[in-house]
Amino acid sequence: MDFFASQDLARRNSRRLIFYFIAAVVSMIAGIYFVVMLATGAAGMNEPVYNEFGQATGTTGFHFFEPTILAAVASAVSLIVGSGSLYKVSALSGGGESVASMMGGRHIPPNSTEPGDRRILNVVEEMALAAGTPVPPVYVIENEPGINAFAAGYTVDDAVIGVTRGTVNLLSRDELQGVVAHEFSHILNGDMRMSIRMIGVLHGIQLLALIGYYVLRGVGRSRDKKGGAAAIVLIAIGVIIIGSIGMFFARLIKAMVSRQREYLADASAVQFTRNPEGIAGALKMIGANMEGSVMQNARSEEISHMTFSSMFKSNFFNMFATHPPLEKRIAELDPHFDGDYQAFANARLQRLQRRDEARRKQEEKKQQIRMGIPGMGGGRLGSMMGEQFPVDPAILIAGIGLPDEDDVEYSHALVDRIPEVVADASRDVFSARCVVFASLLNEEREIRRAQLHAVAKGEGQATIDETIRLMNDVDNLEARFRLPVFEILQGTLTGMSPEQYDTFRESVDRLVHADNRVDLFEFFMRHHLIVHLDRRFGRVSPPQVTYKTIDPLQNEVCSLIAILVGIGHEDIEEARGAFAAAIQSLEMPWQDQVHLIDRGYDYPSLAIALERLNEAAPPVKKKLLTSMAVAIMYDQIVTVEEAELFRAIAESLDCPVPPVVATINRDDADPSGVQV
Amino acid sequence: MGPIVWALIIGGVLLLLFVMFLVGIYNGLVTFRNRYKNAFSQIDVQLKRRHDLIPNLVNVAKGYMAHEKETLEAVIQARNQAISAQQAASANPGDPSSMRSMMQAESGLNGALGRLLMIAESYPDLKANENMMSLQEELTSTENKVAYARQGYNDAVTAYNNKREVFPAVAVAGMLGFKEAELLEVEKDIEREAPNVSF
Repeated sequence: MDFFASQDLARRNSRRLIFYFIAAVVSMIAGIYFVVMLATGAAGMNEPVYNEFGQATGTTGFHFFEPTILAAVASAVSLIVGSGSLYKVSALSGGGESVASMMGGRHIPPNSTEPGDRRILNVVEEMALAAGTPVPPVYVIENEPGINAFAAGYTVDDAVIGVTRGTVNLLSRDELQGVVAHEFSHILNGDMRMSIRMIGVLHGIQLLALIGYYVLRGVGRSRDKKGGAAAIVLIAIGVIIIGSIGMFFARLIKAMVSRQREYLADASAVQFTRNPEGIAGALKMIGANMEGSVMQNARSEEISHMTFSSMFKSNFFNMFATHPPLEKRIAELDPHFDGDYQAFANARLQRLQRRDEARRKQEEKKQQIRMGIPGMGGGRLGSMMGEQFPVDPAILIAGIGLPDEDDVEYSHALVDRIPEVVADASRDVFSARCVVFASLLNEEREIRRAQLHAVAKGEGQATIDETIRLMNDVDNLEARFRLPVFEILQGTLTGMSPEQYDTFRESVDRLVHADNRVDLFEFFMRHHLIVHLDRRFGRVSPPQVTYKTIDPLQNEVCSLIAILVGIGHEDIEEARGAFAAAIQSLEMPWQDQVHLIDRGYDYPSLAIALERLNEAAPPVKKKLLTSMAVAIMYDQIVTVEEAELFRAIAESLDCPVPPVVATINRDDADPSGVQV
Repeated sequence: MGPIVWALIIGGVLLLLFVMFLVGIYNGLVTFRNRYKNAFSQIDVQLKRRHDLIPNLVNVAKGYMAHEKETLEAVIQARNQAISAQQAASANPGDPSSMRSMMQAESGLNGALGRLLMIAESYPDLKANENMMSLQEELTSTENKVAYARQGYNDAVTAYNNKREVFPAVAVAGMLGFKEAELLEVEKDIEREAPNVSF
């Protein structure tokens, strides 16, 4: 199952969830109606029916339909459940950040220097760059000695990673990487939106049972025991029972959906890191840990299906378990494990030391023979470096949303090689803004000055000075570092306050208006950055799927392909050929749109086109990206710039592409050996 | 169904709505409180960095201005005070007394540093020392970052305090243990003028 299929499945699953939810509400209405009818005695034999001669001919039979009561019950139940769900969903509309705050998570600034914090930040950063997503903010849940973690948010854009203090303190780097890879798989598989919906649904149904409970208590306290009190008690008890049955099924559905996604995430984590020992080790440490994966926070149940491992010590019924049993999950990863957690924990320490030693030696060896950044050899791109080669677009597309070990290792090396000035600045909120400003500056000195004056209208002297300080380093940034730097920036800039974000946005707009000659890559980067931050700060809502087929998007698709072939191919005939090939891969009769190549483009309409394309269903996006890949690869030459442009476009369509594509045919490949 | 039944049902629903409403207020306040606490951690990172830079600065200065022992010691002492005030503050962000003592300690440190740098002006060799120059630059840049982080923190505190003071939250906030959070004031507000662009 590739990225698009998985996204689509998650989307359909979450729609199915709504169907189950409606079914549950309807059956609860029926149940409660039944109880009300019985309790109030409204049900019963009907009045006798008379014929035209005034003789009784019998009754209509058992009468059980009273429209007014049914309407009252239906509206009351829908109102309660609906408002309960909506309330919860809206309380969590802030996405991942609100879930993390609800759990009492402490945000770790990306430039924290605490060794423990640093390690988890690095692991998350590498994983994000390997997957090609913005770096998600990291929250640590203090005072939780158990080993557990969660990913929360609606989309890749507002995702956050939360880990307990126990996870940070007790796990080795490999194990931590396994846990983070597991959580990233939830992010990439689109599980998170469903998770938040599930919280809402459960809350609505739970509310019904709660109401019954409060009414029962209210009656218990009221002085008036006569009249309808008995009926009320009966109804309240009925509501509690039916609400509980509703909860039962809701939990069952939640557990079923959740367990299935957990196995998938474990398997994906192994694929990301190609190191089953990491995640297996983390699971075994849970077994060895006194606290296991328990989370003590009172709100734990709400997010129980989001976490790395079950947060309750034992489940009475396995069918309620949101996670497969620890033993089973470990057995999937390490079939030879004998179940002795304590022995594992004891042996682990020595092994970790040995491994560190071995790794160091291996690194030294590698250093001597290394010909380039790791990830060059093997993997899905083969050893095609430095030559002209045909890349199968299908292989490229298959890699989307599925980073592997090469990507992770590549990102690890890449992070180290980003010039330190830029890397440090990108992890600091204050300076990260200046990196963005610097990256949008024109090459010409005079325009540059005008742009800085435009920025100075809203920002202080310190910001201008910092931008000037970073200017040259940002200018000289190699093409392959640019997207990763932006991914880091996206994570860091979420640390602004909403007021600071408003100022920042205005400055970016002013700066861009002072110069309209940004290149295409910069346009996509800026567009993606602003869209991402807009969503994060709640300025716009995440795109909804509106286009299930590619037909209505003819204009947008053809324009985008025309732009791509226009910049990738110098020769106009070749560009036309690339356009034809790309359109052919779409199997659409749009060949006559080839004139778009000569038309040029303007950024505002390109931005609108991107917004529309983002509302396409995942399978449509897959088609589009495939045809884009065909267009880029038509001339058999893929430069870093083209590849990174492809990644930038894909990313602004919310399709994260791993970076190894950047290493193909690196035009700066240095045979003398790149120091890593 | 009699009127009592309906009264009870309506009463139950109203009670529940009220409880939900309270829970909503509580959750909202918790979220806003966590936000400003998280915003404080950005100040924390920068202050730590600033405090780490100072011993280096003093060490460099020591080689040139051995006679100014008192000034140097004053800086070290102010730094130590600032560190303990900062630790107390980061354990309890928003608490008025620890915020105030942190601000006091930081401004004490600023004063001591300012005196040191002023005296350093009269030592041309020290002024020209490369270490000294880069340390000074780093101190300035850290201070800028502190200022920006403080602005973010103040925004978050203001949002929390506003949320807390709006009716109906104000009626229950105190009862639920949500105290007013303290802003971090800037000691001297530099007058805003158009920044200077030169490169």
